[in-house]
Amino acid sequence: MKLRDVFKIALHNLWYNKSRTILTVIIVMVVSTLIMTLCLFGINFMQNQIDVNKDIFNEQGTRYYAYSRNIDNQQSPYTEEEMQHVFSTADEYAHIIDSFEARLESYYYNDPNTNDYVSTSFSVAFGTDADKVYTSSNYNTSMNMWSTRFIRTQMCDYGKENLILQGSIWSATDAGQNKVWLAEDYIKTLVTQGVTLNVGDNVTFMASTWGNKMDSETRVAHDYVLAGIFDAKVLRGEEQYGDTITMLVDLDSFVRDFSDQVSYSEIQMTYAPPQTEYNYNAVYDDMKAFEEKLNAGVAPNRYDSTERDCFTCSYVEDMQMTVLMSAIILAVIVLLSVLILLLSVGSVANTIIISVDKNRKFIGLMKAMGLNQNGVKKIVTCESIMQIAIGVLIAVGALFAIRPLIATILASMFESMFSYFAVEIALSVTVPFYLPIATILLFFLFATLFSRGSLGKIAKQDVISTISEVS
Amino acid sequence: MIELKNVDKIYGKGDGAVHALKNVSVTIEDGKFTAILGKSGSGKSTLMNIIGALDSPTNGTVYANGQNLTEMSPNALAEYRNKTTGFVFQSFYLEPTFSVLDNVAMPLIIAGMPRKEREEKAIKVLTQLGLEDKINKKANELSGGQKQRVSIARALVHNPDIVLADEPTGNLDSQNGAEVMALLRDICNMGKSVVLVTHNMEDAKNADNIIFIEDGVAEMKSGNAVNSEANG
Repeated sequence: MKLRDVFKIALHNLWYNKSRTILTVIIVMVVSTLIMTLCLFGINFMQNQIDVNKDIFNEQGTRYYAYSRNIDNQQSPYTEEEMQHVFSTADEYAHIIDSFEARLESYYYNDPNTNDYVSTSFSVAFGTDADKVYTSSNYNTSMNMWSTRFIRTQMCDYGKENLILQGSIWSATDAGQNKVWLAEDYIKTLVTQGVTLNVGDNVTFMASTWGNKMDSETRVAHDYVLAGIFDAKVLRGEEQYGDTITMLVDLDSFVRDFSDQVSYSEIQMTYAPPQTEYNYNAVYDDMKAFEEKLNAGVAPNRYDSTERDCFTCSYVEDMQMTVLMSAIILAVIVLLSVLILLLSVGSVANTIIISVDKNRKFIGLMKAMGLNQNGVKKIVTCESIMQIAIGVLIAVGALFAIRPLIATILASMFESMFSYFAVEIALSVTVPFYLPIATILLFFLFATLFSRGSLGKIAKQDVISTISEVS
Repeated sequence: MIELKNVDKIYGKGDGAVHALKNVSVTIEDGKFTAILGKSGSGKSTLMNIIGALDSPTNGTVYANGQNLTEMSPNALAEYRNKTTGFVFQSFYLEPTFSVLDNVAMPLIIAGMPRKEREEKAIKVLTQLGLEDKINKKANELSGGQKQRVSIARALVHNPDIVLADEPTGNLDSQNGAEVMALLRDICNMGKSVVLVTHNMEDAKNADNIIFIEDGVAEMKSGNAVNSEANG
């Protein structure tokens, strides 16, 4: 039997049994409106959440940071192996890193041989004719490690943004080149102290190491060149304890020159996504994976027997609560939808069975003329799909009427979820094209499963029984 | 040729079982007019249904042109009916909301014939039966006699080998009844086998073969022999 004829017969049956058809369509319409409303809410919640997350992400970017490690109230420097792991992992995830910065601290320890407490201090002298051993008070002598950033110059190739303004720009060729960049405001302060610096001038770093008995001093000094001047206000970085970043030094150079005198205390990497055209979910997943891998190679902090990872991703941390809320909301929506479907599909299946049963005589007659079981099933299936499709399509019209209500509820939810962030939230509610199609298929699947037994009996019933019962 | 061998048909089980046919062995010859004659409840309709593959026997075998119908699947039997049998029912069993044309074309629709082709065949049969002006009418707009002729047209449209008519004149007046009987005779003269179920000896007397059935027991005699006996 041709599909066109199946359709025509099914349509004929539905048309000439209007009351039953209308009843089935109404039930399908009401139930599918409920289910599609819930699904629409869930889909738009997810989509808008991603959009808001992207806006926040675009606005704020992210930091991956690790402070000084602390184990049982003792500072514990990151080892060389740990730093190599950090460097190699950062190279692997270079696509989500714009910059790499590190803080170094003057190295101090208890000498196990002498039990002598050893500490190091740094000083810095400026100018081409500077005395490399401090003698004059006119020079800024103390190198403030907190306001100095040690930058891994390889990271400049990761992005995307000039770290230095008003001067030369970081590049991979600066690695290991003993270069330093000074803040413009710092340069101005030095001028007031009688020190006038220009790009190309000499900058000397000196490390002085003492035992606590003050009976010995070891000095290590290296010359650097002033490569450029930057505006500290626009440099993306952290202000710790009110300090402004005054110096940027190539990390590889400094650690190479003063490896025995410094240890890593803080590491920070930053990333800002492009404004458009990126896969938010993929980037977010990468960020989580990056954080996880960093921590896998670095021993955790330990406070009162509680261990905490050293590295944290600021954006991932901020989003954890919203992710949890999303999961809960979606779980509730799915559960409600399934419940509504299960509770209602029985009635839909029943009206379909009744509708088909009332056509038993017609089916019996056609079976007498040679319609086989498959043909009966085709007609019944076509009738079911048509009733379900009509009901769902009418429900889609109702959905568009409900859209403003959904938008209002979503707006209220998002305002409370994202009140922490200073981002303007613009929501949209769209009806995806696949929603009615999926609803039709789901309805049909459940209705078929529920009615399979009864309809199967009708299809298989012998011809005489079918005709006799209704003659 | 259709052969029934030792056919039983039992409805129900145990003490409530009804033995509609008891060890029936009859042959429906090709191109012959066969009447099944019996009182109400004798099993004649049951016998017709088994001959027409509308029903299957509880025991025994049914052969149609060498095919064992009792071993066929339901789908195969459906195909067999669609190709080889046409039915005419007492209650016409026309779909009232379909047009006359669609009702007649129904076996061809089931067979998957293209629309233009099947409509040509249906119109041809309807014209032969004098119903060409009723083609687009709804079936429920026809008189009883017209309905039965439409039913006959439907039974013929797919050129079956055998036409089975179950009390086709039961709901008709004598004039229409006579016309229907004449039509059935004409169908047989065209070379088709016709099986008529009736309780009326008058309708059966011109049959080539008559199957007498009473309480499920059947006996087949030639029409000539029966008429000779009747005439003494």
